[in-house]
Amino acid sequence: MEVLYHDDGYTSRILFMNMIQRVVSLLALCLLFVRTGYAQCTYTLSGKITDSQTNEALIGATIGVVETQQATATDERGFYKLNGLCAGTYTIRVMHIGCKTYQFSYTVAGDGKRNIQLEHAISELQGITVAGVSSQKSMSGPVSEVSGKTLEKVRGLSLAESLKDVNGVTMLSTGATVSKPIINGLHSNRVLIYNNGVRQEGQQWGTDHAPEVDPFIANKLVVIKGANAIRYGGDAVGGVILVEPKPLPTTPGISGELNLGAFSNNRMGVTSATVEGNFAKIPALSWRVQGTLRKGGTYRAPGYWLDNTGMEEKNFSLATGWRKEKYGLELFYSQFNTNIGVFTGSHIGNRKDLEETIKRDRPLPEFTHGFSYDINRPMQTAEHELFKAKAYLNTGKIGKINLDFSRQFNYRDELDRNSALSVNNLKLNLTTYTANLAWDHYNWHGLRGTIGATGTYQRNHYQSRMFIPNYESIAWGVFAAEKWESKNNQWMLEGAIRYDNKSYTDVHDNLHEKNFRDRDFAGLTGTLGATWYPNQRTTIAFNATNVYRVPGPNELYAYGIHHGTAMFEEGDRNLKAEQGIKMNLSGNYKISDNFEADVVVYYNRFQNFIFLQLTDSLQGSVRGFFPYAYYTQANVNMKGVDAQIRWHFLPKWQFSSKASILRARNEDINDWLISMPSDRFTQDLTFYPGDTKRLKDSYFSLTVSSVTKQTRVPFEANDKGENKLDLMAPPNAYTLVNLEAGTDWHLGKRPIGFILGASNLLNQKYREYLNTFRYFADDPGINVYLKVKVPFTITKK
Amino acid sequence: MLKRFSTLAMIVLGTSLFFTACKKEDDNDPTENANEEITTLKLTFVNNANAADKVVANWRDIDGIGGNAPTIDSVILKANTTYTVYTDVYDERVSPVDTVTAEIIKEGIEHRVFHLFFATANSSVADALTNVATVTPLDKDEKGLPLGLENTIATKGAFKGVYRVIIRHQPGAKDGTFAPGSTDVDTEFPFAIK
Repeated sequence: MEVLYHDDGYTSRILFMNMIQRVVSLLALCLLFVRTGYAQCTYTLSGKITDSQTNEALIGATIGVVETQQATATDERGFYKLNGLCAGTYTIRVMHIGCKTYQFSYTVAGDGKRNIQLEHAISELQGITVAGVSSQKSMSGPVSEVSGKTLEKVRGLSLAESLKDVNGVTMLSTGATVSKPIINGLHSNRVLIYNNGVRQEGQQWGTDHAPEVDPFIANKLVVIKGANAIRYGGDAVGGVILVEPKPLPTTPGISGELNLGAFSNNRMGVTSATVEGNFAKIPALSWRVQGTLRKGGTYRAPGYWLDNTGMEEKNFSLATGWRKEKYGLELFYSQFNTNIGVFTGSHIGNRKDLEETIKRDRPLPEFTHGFSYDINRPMQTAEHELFKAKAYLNTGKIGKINLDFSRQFNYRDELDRNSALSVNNLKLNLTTYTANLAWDHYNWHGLRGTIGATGTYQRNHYQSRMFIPNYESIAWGVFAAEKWESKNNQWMLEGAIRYDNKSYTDVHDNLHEKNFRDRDFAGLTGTLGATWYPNQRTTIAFNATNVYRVPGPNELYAYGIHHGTAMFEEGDRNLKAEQGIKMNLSGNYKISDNFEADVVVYYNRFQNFIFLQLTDSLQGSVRGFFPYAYYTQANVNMKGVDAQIRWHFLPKWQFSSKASILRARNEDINDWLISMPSDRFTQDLTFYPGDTKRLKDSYFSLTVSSVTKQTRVPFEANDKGENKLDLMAPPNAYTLVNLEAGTDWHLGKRPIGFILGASNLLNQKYREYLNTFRYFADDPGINVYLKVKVPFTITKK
Repeated sequence: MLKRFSTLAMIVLGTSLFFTACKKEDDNDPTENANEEITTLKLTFVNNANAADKVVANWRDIDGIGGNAPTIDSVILKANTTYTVYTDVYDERVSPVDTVTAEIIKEGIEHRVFHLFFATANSSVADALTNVATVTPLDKDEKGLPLGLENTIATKGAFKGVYRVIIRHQPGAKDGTFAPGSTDVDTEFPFAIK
């Protein structure tokens, strides 16, 4: 494409034609699945991996080639051997439990040898490294990771969309533009998000408030589903999502990456760039600058447009670190800004309007005009700002002391539809200060782990209409998380204990002197887990935890109309803390690299599980009648299975299958629990045509996901015999087909990644039960996308 | 070229992010939490045959949804009589009282006010009764479509039921009918024709 810039038109045309011919012939090669003979893929890389502090051999450390996803593990003496490498330059990644992931660039020109020392650096609280599709050798509960190729496939999407391929994770959406992750049926206040090591504090309480996180800052998204999530907070009832940037560069030079994405459905464009560097003269100093722009217009459901569903996002982050052997300091600042249009047809006046909308089955023509990038009212504006300072001190044999301090500010403005008579808007300002002190120790009477304390001060301030009152909150906690491994490496035991205290004060100063009572909570949580490796192929883990979750401000104090749902919601100031027991049993079985099966079975039982109880009683207002809903508690149990297999059944073909099943009961009324994901099944067939000289890691994949109809919903009849808890029955089952192809084009020194795909390929008309806009419109139709990843090097030294 | 393109993209990205101003927390006094909200809908009926014969009915909910129930006057009209009815909307929380009616007139092409009669409360709009009284709008918006704040209402025989005023918000879709748009105001008064 260089030719497009040539001055001489004739030469450029010739060159351009040549290039076209080259591209066409390459495409032809791909299509004919002909394997060219360029690749020399017989080289090996071998060596020994040791602990940098103890010099002991590390057993079971994984070493892999990021680009090709070839990987192996070290044996009993710490030796490894990577076979079948092709000539070229690769990124090699080395991982071991409790160690910092080490990555280096390596050029394969023949058989090579390299010994590697791993540093015990990552705080147990900061990150957990995992290999493979599932929980392996890191924690006794299920952990999934989205990184490398898997992360590239979801680039340009929101955080929740990026995670929806993780088995057991679903999405709670409010139309096409707002989505938040659900882990095994639990979401919002029950799922903690750690953004670069800082617990994200935003207006998470609303189902229509998406997490204010730019997934482009991460090179790894980790989902901790199991009970062990508790170490991140006593309230991690559903699980934890870690948004982890890669460590700042340690090798001299300035380099970066540019990501571009285009999506057809809403004509969305995404640009994100990262530049990072380290200087040979000041090796301790490294830095990174990152920015993302996303802009999309109106989404299209099969057959019609969804007016005013445009969105725009402008995010950036700056990071710098000063790293010495003994100590280090890191500063991080990020800003997330978004404007989101809310589908005009969803802003109904009152319950009567909602009933009419449901009867209609399709939005009124005035809400389906056509495409536009304009964002009009109703709309949401949200901004999240994070400043973090982190310091660590290596204390040799004793371990490492980490201290961090952060300030977060979250601003949110929700504007109703534009009418002289509208209840105008909701403005929220949430400021949070957090400090964490943690001591990582590597060997203390055979134990490895982290002991620490954490403190948070939070203040909410609203303007305009009240929904969540003004409040101040102070929370603090102390914890210890320890791990023990048997000498023969067959057993790993872990335990954690945590004490949390949280108070809400000053819940007054509200309009009409609506004052609410202060609350103070204190609770103890603990977890115990064991992992057994009976042989090289099998891992079996069990984990049990008791959880203690302090009710969120919305559950305690909400009072007002929630416009997204056209409901009058009222909190209960007298709620008790949510308590319960979570248990997971997981098994992983792997025969070579060609077959792997992974199953997680879980059973959770909660006392005082907090949920929004829908009623058919109505609140009269000048705008008409609104259904009344209130927060209440019940004893609830949830059990389920997340299972997946991956089978490389022919050299170039891989089949994978996933199933996620959940049953949730409200024991108090002996009926189902409302708003739980229905069963979902995903089949994926991938073809790897093999490498050519220029095109490597190519794949074609076809994914079929089926979602069943949610038939397990609570039923209470109204006088007409309809379900008074939900005006609309859950939508029908649906199946979506996605097709995707990707390749790395080795044009210059560093490969350019291309992904072309289509989601909802058959333009299937469907509605998802967990999309609160299912009352108003269908979900979006076909979306063709192209993503390009361009790594670049600015200076070498 | 790749490098040039990358540099260019970076400059564009950098510049646009640089201008992304960060909003600072608005530390206004919490007592400024007031918001424009409709508290009151007032109906004034004037007998066309006798200007001194006035009926005034208020639908008033000062503390908004939730809290105290609204206070609602009854509408009692004479049979076989023609009145002119004026609809007014206020926010009585603020001082001086905000007359929202003026804004409805200003946004006339987006609004349509309906005066409807029902046998029972909270009925479907499709069940509106047409044999109770005849309502004829007197005012028009800029495009010549009826607005409905001012109407003549010619009552028929004796009746007991519900008098309902609905203001529909129909931006870009107003065509004189009820269906387009969504509801801004929906108030019900006990109603009798004697």
